[in-house]
Amino acid sequence: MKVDAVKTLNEIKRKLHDSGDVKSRTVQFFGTQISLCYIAPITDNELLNNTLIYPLINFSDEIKGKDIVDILYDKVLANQEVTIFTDLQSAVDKMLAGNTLILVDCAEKILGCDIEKITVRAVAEPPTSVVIKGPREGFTESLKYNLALIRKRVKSDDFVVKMLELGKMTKTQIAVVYYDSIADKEVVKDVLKRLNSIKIDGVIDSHYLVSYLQRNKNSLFKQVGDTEKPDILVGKMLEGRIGIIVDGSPIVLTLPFILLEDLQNSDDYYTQPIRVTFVRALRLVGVILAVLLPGVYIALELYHYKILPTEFLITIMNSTQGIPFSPFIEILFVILLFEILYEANIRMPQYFGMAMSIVGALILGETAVNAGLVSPPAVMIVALSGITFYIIPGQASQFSILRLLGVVIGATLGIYGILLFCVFILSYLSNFDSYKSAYLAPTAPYIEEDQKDSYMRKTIDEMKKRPRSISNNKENNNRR
Amino acid sequence: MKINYRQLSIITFMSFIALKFLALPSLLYLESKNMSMFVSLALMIIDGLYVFVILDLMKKSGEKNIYEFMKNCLGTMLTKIILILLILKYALVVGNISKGLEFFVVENLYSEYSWFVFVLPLMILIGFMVYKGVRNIARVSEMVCWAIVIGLIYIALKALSGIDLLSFLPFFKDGVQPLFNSAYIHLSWFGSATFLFMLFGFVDFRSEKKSKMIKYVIFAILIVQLLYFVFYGLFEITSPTHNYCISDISQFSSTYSAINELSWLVVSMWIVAQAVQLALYSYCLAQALKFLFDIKGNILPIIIVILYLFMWSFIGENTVRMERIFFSSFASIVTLIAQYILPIILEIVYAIKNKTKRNKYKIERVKDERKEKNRDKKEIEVNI
Amino acid sequence: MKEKKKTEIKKKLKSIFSPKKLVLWLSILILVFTVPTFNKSAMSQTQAIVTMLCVDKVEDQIKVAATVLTPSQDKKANFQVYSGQGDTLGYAVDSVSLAIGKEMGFAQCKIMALGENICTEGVMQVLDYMTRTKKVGRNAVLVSFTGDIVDFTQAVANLNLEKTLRLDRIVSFDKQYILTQDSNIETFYIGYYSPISLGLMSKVKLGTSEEFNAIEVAGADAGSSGASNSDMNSTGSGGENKKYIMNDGTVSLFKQGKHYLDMTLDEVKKANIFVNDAQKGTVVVESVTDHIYNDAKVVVNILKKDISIKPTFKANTPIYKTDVSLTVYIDEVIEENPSERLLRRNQDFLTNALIEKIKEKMETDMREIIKYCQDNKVDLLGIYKHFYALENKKFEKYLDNMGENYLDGIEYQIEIKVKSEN
Repeated sequence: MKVDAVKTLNEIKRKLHDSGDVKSRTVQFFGTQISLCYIAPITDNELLNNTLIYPLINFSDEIKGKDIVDILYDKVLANQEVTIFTDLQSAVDKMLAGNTLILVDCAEKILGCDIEKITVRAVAEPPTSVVIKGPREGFTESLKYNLALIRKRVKSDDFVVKMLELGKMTKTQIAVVYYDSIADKEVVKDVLKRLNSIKIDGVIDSHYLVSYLQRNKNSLFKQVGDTEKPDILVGKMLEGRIGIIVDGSPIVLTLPFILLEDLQNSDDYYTQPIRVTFVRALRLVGVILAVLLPGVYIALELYHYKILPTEFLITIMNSTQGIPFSPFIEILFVILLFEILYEANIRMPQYFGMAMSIVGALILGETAVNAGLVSPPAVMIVALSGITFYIIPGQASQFSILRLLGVVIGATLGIYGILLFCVFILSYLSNFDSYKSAYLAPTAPYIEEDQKDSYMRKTIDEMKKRPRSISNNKENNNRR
Repeated sequence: MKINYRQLSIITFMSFIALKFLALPSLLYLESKNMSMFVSLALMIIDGLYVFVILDLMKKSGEKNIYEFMKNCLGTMLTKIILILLILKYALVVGNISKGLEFFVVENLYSEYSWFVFVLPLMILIGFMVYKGVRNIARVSEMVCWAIVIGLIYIALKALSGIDLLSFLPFFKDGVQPLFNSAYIHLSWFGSATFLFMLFGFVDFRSEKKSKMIKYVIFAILIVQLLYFVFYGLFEITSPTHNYCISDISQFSSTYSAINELSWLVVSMWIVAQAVQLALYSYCLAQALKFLFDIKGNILPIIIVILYLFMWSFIGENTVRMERIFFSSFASIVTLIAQYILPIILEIVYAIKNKTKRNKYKIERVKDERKEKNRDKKEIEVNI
Repeated sequence: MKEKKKTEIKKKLKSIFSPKKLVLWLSILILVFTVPTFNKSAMSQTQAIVTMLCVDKVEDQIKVAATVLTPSQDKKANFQVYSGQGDTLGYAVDSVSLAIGKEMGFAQCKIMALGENICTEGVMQVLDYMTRTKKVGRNAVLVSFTGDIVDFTQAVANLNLEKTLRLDRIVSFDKQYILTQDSNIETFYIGYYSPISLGLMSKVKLGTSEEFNAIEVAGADAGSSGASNSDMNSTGSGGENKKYIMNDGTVSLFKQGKHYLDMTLDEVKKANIFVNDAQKGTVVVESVTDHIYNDAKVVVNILKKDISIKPTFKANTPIYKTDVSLTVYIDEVIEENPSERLLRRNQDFLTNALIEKIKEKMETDMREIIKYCQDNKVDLLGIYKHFYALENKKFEKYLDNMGENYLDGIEYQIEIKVKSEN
């Protein structure tokens, strides 16, 4: 390839369809014309002036007989990250990623200098996982920064970062991170194979990859873990999981995923074990309440009045008397109301949301009850189950579907149907193995060693072995 | 898709308590009166011993499934006959559990019902679980097992104060004859180890601890006996009128409240246990059908099993009456052969076959040695 | 061609019976069943939930009165009383059903009350019908009553309004005092089917306040709002002559399912000495005189009671040996000139003289109740059961000789030990 400062520049511009943000500057360097070509929005102007143009103009050493490209590489830009390209296409690709191309007239190669302007928001506590005690850093949208956040915590030579590029149109950078000696080699291989085989136009967020990574497609249940916090990611990697970081997304995917992960919280490891055991029991009860409570209520009302204690029955009878709808319609109505309120509340601007939640939950509910449209127990039960969703926020979206199913089954078949529904879900999830890990481990299959950190938690010093529930390098099992 | 030894123990435990808390205690009382506990105790201990006999066979079979194993031992013809017998046994158990479940659900929870509607979701569930295989059933059992155990102990302890110990006396008033009668008539409710036949080749014995299985079997026997003790102590002479042991105990344990409180949670857990058991025996039935008719895929046997299950929703009204007509005579013989005679026959045949094989092997080795010696001689001769 | 067709059919069958599609079909089937539930109303509104059922016989007809739960913002109207008559119990229940216009649900029925007339005629068929056909729980409390059936039901319904006062609680109040502690259908059945065929039931009386000398148990404002006047079947107890129920501790004895005799509270208390479950009780001894007491009347409370019963045989004579050991404390001392020693609180006042007196009193009480049993030929104390269980063969031989009068030939040995609580 022969570079002509002007022609090549024009060629590049043509390649990019004369996009308006492609800029160029030309300087004279010992009589040779040098063109600098860059994309303005992603190039740091100050750096461009200070590290490229200024040294070029002020360079005063002898250059006799030497190739200008070599001089630029070895001397002028010695303190910069410079890449040498021999073909135009790869140079342009790099330029799109933030490099400034240096086109030297009559040279054989093109130089690329990385002076990308990184626009990033400040590292802040992610709103999805707020902790009381513990680190407050969260991932940002920049892959580089995110890796920095991880590297800051991990100073081992064992830590591996595998970089990939996905998306025909977006060319998104993806980093697969894991501990070489801890992660299961086969799983790493599998994940890399799956990622490499992805053919997609663009990867805009890490969740674009989820459907390629999960075993059971079209399933309601979550099969890939996600986190927004570096401390959680490192914790998970130390247990043998693999992290997948996507440039432009603050959410990092983790694999393999088991259901228990959502029952745990990073807070758990920073507080007293006894308290944690209690809280986890509470979460489990929360799951049952969230999913089954409205279903059980409707079943009791439609079929099983004989189960209720008489006093309780009288209370319910008195409060449901005179409601114009049938119990099933009534509860569906209330659920619908709550779901709408929920959906509207998230999307609403924050200052608006506060007022809205008061109007929605309090006034709407209150008036509906007062007007005799719905009964107080129905409102109470749906509200209770709605609140308990967020005791395990990671599963909230699935729970709301399961709850609806529970209500339909409860209304059709009563308690018996709900019980069969539960068995069905358990049985369905028992077969949900992915990446060599059982979804319901360590409960089914029961793994005694892992009970130390399942429904109860022992102290950190008692957790000497890595969990067997998820696939990791079994030979390197000791935590210390 | 193998299951581990712990899971096997838990399935065995569940199978041991599966049929015991419905109509069985009240039926036993009709024949053996206040000595009924001994009947169930004796039969359960025998069942427990047979678990280990069949496990021994299972280990011997290695990776082979029951069909290949029996074919090796007994030949194709006999194997097929035995399979038919096993199918009958499983079919009986499936029918018994499904009918028990139906009456239990209807009696305890519903006022108006149509079993036709109720059996459809059950069919879906059983079909799904059987399709997913024994590991699935094992894992579900693992999860629900402890809730059931806690529930059973809870209702037993709650009712324990109302027991009149005198009602168990005098011991053996009419001799032991009624006990044998009772044991024979109600044999089909026992034989809880027969399901193990269909797990040949599906169990991973690597993490085996024999004590684990022994513990679970003993625990199952104890828990059944505890509940029977409570049942007979509580109801004494009216025991035969209580056809749903578990719900009746929990109902009458308190003085003036119906199934309120937590008891209905126990009742619910029991329904779950029954559903899981139904899946286990349906799986066995599907497997046996598959072996018998050499069916390649999994779907056809499952469909047959599910339709069989559906068929039961048209049969019968009363467990007790059905038991009298159907289970007592014919089912006892089937159970007797399938559970108590077959394993011993297999053990003996296996032992004989192995002995002859070993002998053959020995003779062959001797021959080989001779040949080698001769060859050596020849070689020496050549060298010379 | 044929093979092609066969494979085609196979393919079609496979596609129809593929597991995913099967689940889909069945799910659709279930959805079909879901549609009707859209306008299914709550069961508590389609069924008349009965919390108490009273049965009696009036002029050769069975009369039934039931307390039915009715939703209402006014809590006083929650328990409505309906009644009906018929030739048989089934007809009577159906007539109530007809009047309400709903099917009756008995799952919440916690009390079964039986009137005097039906008691003398035999209650087994009533209990059998109600538990077997109508699915009344066998743990429903059994009560017999005197007085008009509708008034009685109304009075009980009024009791229900005050949640702390309910008939079943009143009847089984403090089981330590009353012999019929677990007087429910199940225990009645057990008693009925036992060889002695004996059943017990609390007896509750109904009357006006004058009749009871104003010993009101409850039911302060009965009548006015609680009564429902549906058609001609039910009659509310009028506001003017309020009726009250009273439990004076009387117990009805049933033999072969028929009312046999009534025991007074005094007799019940005496019988209770033999019952281990009835732990508490009082003993009143008079004219105790020794170094502490001066012709005093002493009331002693029983704190703990241990009874061991040993049925034995001595040369064909059955011996019913009862060892009673009591732990007591002194409750009340009534004397004219209390000695100053009584002021010393810490001292143990259970003197030998007092102990002797207590023993004497207890033994006479026990002998009296044994006499009562022998006279009336009722085995209240479970003597049959003890002998049958522990001395089976000899007792059966003995029974062959004695027959129904087996209580008379038994020698009763009583030994009493009294301890102080310290």
